[in-house]
Amino acid sequence: MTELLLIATIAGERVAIPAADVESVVEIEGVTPVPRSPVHVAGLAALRSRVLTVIDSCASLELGTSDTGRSREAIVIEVGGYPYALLVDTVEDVIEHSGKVRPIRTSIAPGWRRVATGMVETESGLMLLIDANSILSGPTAEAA
Amino acid sequence: MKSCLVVDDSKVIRKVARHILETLNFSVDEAEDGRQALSRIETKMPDVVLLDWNMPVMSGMEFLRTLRQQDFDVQPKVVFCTTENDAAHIRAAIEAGADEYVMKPFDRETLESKLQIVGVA
Amino acid sequence: MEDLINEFIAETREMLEALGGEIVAWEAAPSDRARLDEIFRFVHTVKGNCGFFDLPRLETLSHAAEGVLAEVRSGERPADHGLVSAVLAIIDRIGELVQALETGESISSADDAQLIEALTASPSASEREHQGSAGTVLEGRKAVRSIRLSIDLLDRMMSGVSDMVLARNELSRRLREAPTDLAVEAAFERVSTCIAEMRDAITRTRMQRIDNLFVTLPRMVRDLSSELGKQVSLEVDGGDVELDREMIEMIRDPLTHIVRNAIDHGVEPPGDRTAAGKASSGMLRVSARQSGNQILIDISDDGRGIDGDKLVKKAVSNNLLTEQQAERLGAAQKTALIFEAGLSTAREVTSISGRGVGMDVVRANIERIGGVVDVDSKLGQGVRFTLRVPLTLTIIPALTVSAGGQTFAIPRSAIEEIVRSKNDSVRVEALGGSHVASIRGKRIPLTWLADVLGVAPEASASEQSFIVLKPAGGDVYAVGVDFVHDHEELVIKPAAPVVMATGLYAGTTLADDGSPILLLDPSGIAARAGLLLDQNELEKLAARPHAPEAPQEGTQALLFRTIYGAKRVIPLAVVERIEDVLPDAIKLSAGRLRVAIGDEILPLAGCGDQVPSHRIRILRLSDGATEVAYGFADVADLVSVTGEMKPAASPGEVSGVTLIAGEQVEILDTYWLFADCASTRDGGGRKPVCALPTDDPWMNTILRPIIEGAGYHVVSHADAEAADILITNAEDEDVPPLPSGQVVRIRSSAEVRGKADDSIYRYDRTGLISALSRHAAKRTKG
Repeated sequence: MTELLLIATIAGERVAIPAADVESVVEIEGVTPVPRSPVHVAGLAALRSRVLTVIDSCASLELGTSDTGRSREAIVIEVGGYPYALLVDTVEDVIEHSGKVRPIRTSIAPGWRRVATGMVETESGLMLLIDANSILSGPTAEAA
Repeated sequence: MKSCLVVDDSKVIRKVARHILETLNFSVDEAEDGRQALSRIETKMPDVVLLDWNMPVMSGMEFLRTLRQQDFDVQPKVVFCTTENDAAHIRAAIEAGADEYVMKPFDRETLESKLQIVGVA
Repeated sequence: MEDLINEFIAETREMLEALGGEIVAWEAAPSDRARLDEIFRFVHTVKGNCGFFDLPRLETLSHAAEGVLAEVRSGERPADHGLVSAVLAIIDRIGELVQALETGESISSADDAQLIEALTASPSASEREHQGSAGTVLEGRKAVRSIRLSIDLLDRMMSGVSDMVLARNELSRRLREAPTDLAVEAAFERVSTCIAEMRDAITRTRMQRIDNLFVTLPRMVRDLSSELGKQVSLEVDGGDVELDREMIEMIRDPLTHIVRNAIDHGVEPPGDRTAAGKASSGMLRVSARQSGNQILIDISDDGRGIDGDKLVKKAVSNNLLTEQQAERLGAAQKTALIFEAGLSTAREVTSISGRGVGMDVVRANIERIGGVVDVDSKLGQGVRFTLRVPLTLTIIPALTVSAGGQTFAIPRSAIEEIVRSKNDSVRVEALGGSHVASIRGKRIPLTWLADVLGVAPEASASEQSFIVLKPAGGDVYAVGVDFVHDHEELVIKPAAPVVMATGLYAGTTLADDGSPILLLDPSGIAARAGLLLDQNELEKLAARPHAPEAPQEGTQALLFRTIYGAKRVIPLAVVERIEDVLPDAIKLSAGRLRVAIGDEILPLAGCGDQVPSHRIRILRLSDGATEVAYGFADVADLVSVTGEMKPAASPGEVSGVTLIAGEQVEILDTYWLFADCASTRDGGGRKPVCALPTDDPWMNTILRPIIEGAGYHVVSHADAEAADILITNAEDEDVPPLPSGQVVRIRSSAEVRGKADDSIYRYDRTGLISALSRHAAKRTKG
């Protein structure tokens, strides 16, 4: 079975995200902070007349916080009727993938372990397959 | 298990009837009008037909007349449903070949007793 | 049954849709038999169907129409225009009622009879009516015709209008920036008005009475209670509250679930109720009210309540809590465990409320729509659930403010007043580490938005503006903000769950320039700021206790630091309030410092005899008659003084030292203070002496100041020999002999115990004072 995968870089690492989960890729500028929200919630951003909840993917993966002051690329996904923008370093490509999703056998950082569903072999190498939804829940979800 | 064909253009009535009949241990088949009922009968003969009177395409009366003219080995019992407590109306139905009538709205007890009267429950 | 009624609604609607063309055709040609049959069949089916439900109005209407149509079919009556109109009016009404069934609106039944009467009106009369003009045919029918729109379409309209409002706002901003000619502005104004009107109309299409939700309750309660062999009477209130159609749908399941639970698990069987001394029939109340941009739905029963301890036990055995965590839970937290997954107090899952759905799902559903569900329970007395849901996807009037450089919106419906802190009628008082705003003499709790949000304020405390808020279901409080911007109409969109989870926001919106703004939730702000005290509790804290019924727990006292840095405590009972005063309000006159507050001049203690050089804070102390001001630096805490007191070496401002949290703290001698100030007032002279049982806390904290205020010097019973009057509890047998023989006995109950009882009720102040003066008069004579 072929699947379209979006290849993006998060915290310097290239990952694959099922394109079916992704609504669009946008440039995010001017994030309005949400005081007292969890650390991985970067804030809110407007996209046309929609308000996106901006998620700092790095913070969600417990890999530090990203700079939201400058314009950033983000992946827009919709969950439960709410649009979210996941901040990423860059979005590189969309590829067709027909190989197997392999289980992760190596030891990876806890943040990655929480969001990765497996590994995929692409032309540009082996990378983690990420469940975009689980980036939303952030590090607090497991602690609670 | 006895079987019953519920003929009514109203899905609501069919559902109510199905519910009651199933609690009375009947297997239930449904038809939306007289013509559909006839074709059902051709494939599977029920023990009893619960028949609405006022239906589009083919009315209950037409269906009943046609049914009774058919050359089946065993004719199904027919209980017709009415909302009118009108002697002439009921008489016309009985004359056309109905075995019993039941007033809408009916409940489990009423329907069960009517089915007992015609000897299928 | 619920499924069936939905079937019924859907089927009737389908038939009506199919009938639409027939109706028009029949209206044009009433003698058309095929059409007549179709219409007859419709009312016939409706009548037959609604007999299975409890729908008497529909049944009556369809029965009447069926009867008349049967007459037409049999040729007994001609299908004149009057009759056609009457039948069509009934069909329209059937359509309305079916829609109402679905949406829960209520439609007045007042003219049902009139509609039916029109059917049987004499043909000649209806003919005459018809002959008036061709138009009367249409006028004779109910003027209101409706069409069905899909919710999707309504949503698209709504979001279209929202975008239009945003575009208008942006245009407005650009017009303000660029010089434009008057004609453009006039045209813009017209567009604005149109958009506003359209927005109102579309908003209204989405609003529905909550009755929609409530109509199904009586039937459900009746069926459930009879199934369970219980007696439950239902009271429904507030059905006219309107909220978004979508909201109604979202609340339907949670509400149903809570009601089912209340009947299944809450209300006891009649026997148990009687045994518990309750009426055999349980009471279930469901009410709705709108409060600001929220709808509050209360569901309360008078059943057995939630057994918090049982929940805790279960939570511990399910490993949801550790024993240690469980021990720390308060009663409310225990009750709130009902919302945890897998915790249901019922011993077995019943067919009614079992179904694998728990209160955790109810909470999740309510929170998903940005709502909150609270529970309040008293074991053996009942449970109350409160659903607070916002009105989302609507346009609301709001005030934009800023804190920490960021703009926020506050729903205008929650705003009572906006005041500037520079305003003379506003004063900020500190109290036990928190603040109280005194606005035109009315004291309300105060918090700062920047503090609540954890951002750095941009305006200094004195430059802040205060927004007086009355949140849904809460009490009035004030919030200080850096700047107040503008009143605006904002398109509110629901915020993502992760944002709602902060409890501070009610939604998001977009500013004119398209940047997102958070809409603040006034209740959430109050909760975060810890302003959950209701007004009475605050008053109690600030003023003397009304009736200290638990004296054993020690005296409530205020721990503060004096101007000279010493820590002292003072019984809270004598602290009227705390205020800031400026040096120019303080003067040395008539031998002591005095401070002017409003039109009062109070003796000022705590500052030596030097007028302070800067603003100071004062405690206003009152013994019930006299007021004294005491200057101090800041409040440290509210404490309970239970420890032993070491008396001071000599009488003075400090009566002794006690230990509070391991620290030595001086006790301010209020008696001495009042006496000192009073003596300055009276200019000396020997005071009469009153002996009190000073070991009785009520006597010591409440009565003593009153007696001292009446000019007495108070001593303990141990020193009763020197006393002129002795006051004692009526219940006390052991009264020391008093040479002067003047004894006033005080009883704690309001009722007199027999004729010989000459005691005085402890809160009968007038009686007390007059008894004192009577005795004093005797003393002077004697």
